[in-house]
Amino acid sequence: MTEKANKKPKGKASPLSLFTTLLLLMMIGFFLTSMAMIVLIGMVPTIVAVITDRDNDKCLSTCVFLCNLCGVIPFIVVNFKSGITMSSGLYILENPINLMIMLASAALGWGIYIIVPQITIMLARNRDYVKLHQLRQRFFDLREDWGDALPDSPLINNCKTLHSSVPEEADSPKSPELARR
Amino acid sequence: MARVVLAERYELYPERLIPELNTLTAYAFEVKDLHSPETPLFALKSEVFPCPRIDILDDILSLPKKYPDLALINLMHVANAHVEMEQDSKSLIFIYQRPKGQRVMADLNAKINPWSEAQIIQGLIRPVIDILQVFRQLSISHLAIRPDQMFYNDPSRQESIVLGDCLSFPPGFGQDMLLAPIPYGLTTPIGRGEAGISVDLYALGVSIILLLQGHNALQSLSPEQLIQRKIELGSFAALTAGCSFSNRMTELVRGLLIDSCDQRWSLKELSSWIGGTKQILVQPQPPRRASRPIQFNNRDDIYTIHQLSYELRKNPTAATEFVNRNDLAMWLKNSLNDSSRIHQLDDLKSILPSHASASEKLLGIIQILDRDGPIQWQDKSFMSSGLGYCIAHSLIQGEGVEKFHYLLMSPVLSYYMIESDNQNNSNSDESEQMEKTYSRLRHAIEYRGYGGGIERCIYMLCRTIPCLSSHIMKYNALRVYDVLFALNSLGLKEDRPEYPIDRHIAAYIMVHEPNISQTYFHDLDSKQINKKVLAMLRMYADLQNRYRIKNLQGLCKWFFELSEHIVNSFNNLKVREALRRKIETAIIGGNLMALAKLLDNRKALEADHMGLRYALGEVRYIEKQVHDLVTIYQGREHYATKEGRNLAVIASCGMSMAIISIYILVKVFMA
Repeated sequence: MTEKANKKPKGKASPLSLFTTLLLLMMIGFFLTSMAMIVLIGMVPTIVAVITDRDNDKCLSTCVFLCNLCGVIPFIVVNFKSGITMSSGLYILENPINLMIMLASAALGWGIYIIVPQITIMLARNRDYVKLHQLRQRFFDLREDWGDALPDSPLINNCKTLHSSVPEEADSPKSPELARR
Repeated sequence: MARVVLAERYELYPERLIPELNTLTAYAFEVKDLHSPETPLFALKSEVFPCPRIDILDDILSLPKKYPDLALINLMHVANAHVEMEQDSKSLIFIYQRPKGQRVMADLNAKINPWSEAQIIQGLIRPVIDILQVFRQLSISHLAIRPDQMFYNDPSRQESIVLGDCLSFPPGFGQDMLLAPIPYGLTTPIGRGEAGISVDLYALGVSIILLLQGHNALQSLSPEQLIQRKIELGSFAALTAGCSFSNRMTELVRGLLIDSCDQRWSLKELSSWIGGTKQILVQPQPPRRASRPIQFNNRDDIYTIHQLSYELRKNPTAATEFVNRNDLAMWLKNSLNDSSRIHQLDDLKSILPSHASASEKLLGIIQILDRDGPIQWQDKSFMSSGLGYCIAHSLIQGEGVEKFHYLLMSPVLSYYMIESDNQNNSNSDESEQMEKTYSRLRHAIEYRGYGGGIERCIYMLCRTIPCLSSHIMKYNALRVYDVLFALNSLGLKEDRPEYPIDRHIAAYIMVHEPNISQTYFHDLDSKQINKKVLAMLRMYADLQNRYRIKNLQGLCKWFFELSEHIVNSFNNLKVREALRRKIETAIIGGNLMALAKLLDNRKALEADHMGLRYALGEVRYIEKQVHDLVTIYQGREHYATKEGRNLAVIASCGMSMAIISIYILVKVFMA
């Protein structure tokens, strides 16, 4: 077999490792039933995020997981201090405030995932706009200095905003001198 | 209207014409001497072409002071000026003292009371001898001695005359066929050129006949009949037929009208005659008569070589056929036994190039037949000193000058010109000089660019001729200095031509400023306008420096317009504007050199081209950047989305870690 064939597809776990993980989880669940119950119920948003996240980088899952975990860990600690009993576990889960804390923390993760990229895009767009403005200004300054000796650029003339359409010919500059360069 | 005052002394009245004092090419009008209003003066305003005799101007101008008693019309002042505040063409204005009496003859066909011998001797011959003696010392000649150019010095006494103007037209231009010796008469008037005193003495001889008779007995003859009669009978016999003069007068007239220039009386013999010494008259040799006539142009009565040469001149078309036949050599050998001319014909064959035209052969043959006669070239005939005038005249008249191109290229012309010169002056240095001149002429005509061609030949042959450029002809530019001022005046006008140079101006400058750099003329032939304009500018700047002319604002303005191409060769608009501002400053100063330095700046031009290259590179970079930016926003997902997600992960991580840490810390401190 070729080396290529030996390579596993990226992002897909092998059946053996999946089986090992499930076996491990089952063993933990058997011995730490209350804790597993808290984790299972508390981490439902993470499970939903993992299922719905189609992104290769799994950013949504990671965000929701980290924030969800942050909401679940205090209750795990409480359960751990109570001796990891089933009753203490049920006591925690029966309290709607505790459930709200766990789920709200996951919601925070969702919120971060939604808001932070938007802010980033907004900042980047602003930065790009400034850059475009500077480039256009420089072009017009050059045109003012050199006049028709510099080829006119419909692309630069038309793109007053970043959402201007890119003319097809912009890929191939008309000026022979530019083409030569 | 403001009057023109020359030399702060002579006030011109061009509207007060004096037609009776007009000459062939100049009109006369009144002038007032502001320093001495009682002195009667008149002015002659000549034409630009045919141009006056500038080469003898200084000599004639000096005569009234040196020889106040000379019976020559007093030339008081000469100026190259306008008479009506720049309304007319600029040309030479001769201010003369007005003669006290009228013309001796109103024209050559007028009738007057015949002069007595005493009157002729006292009133005409003595004063003319004095004049011609002075002229001989100055190596000049009058060439306009004739009764209608003589004025009575004192109308009441009518005894003595003064000779009129001889300056306002080219040498011999106005001389009538009657008063011109045969070779001079055969020449086209404009091509006569300077001649010796003997021509004046011949004219004096004819004038004596006219004054003794009181009329022109030959006025019924046409110029052709007159010259033919002179050739067939000899001048003396032709002009004195039917006249009865005293023996003394006959002796005088016979001596002055000898057709051979060498045998004609000189001033010495004339002075001796006046002194009463009996002169030994050399009987002129009649032309040898052939035993049989030669047939040419339906004439079968041609017995002498002079008759033949005249007929050949008269009918150049028929003559070209004649020279291709061998009839002439046979006739010379069998009928005239003229071995000398047969040898000369052989020499001609060796001189003639293999592709020689019939006109070249004809020129040589006529020169062999009539050595003293003018050079005959197609329909023109001219003396060696009149060739320049002749070409210039053809050019001005719009006749083709190509024929002169072939003539100057022909070895036959230089051979016979030098031969003819050798006859007149036996000086070998002058012959060498002539040879060099013709060699230079050939080089000049071969060079077809600016500063060469037939135009240069005109100015080489005739150095006193004004610049004949159609642009500045009305400014009568007699020196390069005048050319610059003429162009400057033209530059201040709106209707100026495109360029301040043409072939005439270039040729004129090249001839009169031999030390000027030849590269200017080579660059003028360039097809690149910038190079051509810069060559003109540098040449005129050089000339401005040489002549130390401070301000040539008109030329500067002209060059400012022409420099638009040069300014536009700078790509940077700001550099162009700055350059224009500097040029405008230079124009105010009228300094062409400053303008040349501004426009002929190669370093600045190179820097500009380099700047353009950088700018083009920068534009390409900007275009690429803009294209990339715009393309990003055309995609479905912003490039920052991924960054944002990563940031969200980091933020989640950080926040969870912080919360957990706080929780742990709270627990620890609570415990």
